[in-house]
Amino acid sequence: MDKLIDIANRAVADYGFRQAVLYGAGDIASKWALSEEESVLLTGQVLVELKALPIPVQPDDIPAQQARVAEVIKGLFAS
Amino acid sequence: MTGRLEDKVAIVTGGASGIGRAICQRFAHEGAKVAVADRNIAGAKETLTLMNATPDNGMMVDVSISDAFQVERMVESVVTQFGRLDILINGAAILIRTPPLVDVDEVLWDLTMETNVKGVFLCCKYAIPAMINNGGGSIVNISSQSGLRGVGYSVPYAVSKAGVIHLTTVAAAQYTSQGVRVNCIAPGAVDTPQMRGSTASAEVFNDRNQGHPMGRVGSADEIANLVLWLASDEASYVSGSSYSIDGGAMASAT
Repeated sequence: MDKLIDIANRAVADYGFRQAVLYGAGDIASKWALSEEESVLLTGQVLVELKALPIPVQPDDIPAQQARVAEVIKGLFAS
Repeated sequence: MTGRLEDKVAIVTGGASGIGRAICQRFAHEGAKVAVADRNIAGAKETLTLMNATPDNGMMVDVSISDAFQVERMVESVVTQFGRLDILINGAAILIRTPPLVDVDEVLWDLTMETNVKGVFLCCKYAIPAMINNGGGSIVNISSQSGLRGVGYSVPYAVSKAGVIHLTTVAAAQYTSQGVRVNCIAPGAVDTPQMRGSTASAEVFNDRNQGHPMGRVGSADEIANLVLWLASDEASYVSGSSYSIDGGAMASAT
């Protein structure tokens, strides 16, 4: 879960990294050595959340967006 | 003028948006058959629509350019569809912002190098034989001003773009004699979705315009104009060269 949150945090803060995740989630999963479960979540609901982010996320909004997406990820693991 | 690329067949990686999309549109307008190669399928489809493409002059290739098998298959599919390959534009790249060198994560270094350098290498590796098979061709690699000077916002991106410039030189030295011209461009700031997405706010974007010698950053269409010339037979004596296209920004830098 922590690795997924790390990926999401980076994607919220940096549009270039977000692009790398959106169009190369498999590579990202491999590079971060995600588990199968984490990979499925990354390519599913986490990508949906990242696609819905504003372009760009304004600097003042980054902490709140990171916290929101992290909560979504925690919820996915809890369910 | 139209028809400057009449009957030429081109692959444009990164064709789904920004500079790559502008190149696809310009090439199609000049009579080329264009393969829009990208992992962004929705964007690639939009590019084909903007090109008014038909199956006779446009196709889409879903490709990860850091995967040799996929790149080989991309070249094969284009040659199968259009009968030849004349032009390769290596436009696909990623730009991940990083802290200064000591604090750069190895994984971000690897990700950037795999796309920005290995990807260009692989596309050249598989495109060059196809070009030689039909008498030659033209490759234009898209580098960046970041590859020429010590920009601070991304260590791996800057180094990767310097690598693209030197890859251009080496490839030109090895294949110009076989009819394949290899050149490179190094754009400065260009108004693309990538740049706007990486710019914190409209105010910061406006500041970039006002700080530029021309009072504005470049447009993707302006970059496509130079790429068109290099790709076309008008640049028949040009190989192994790298061109800055930055609206005078480098010349004005203090």
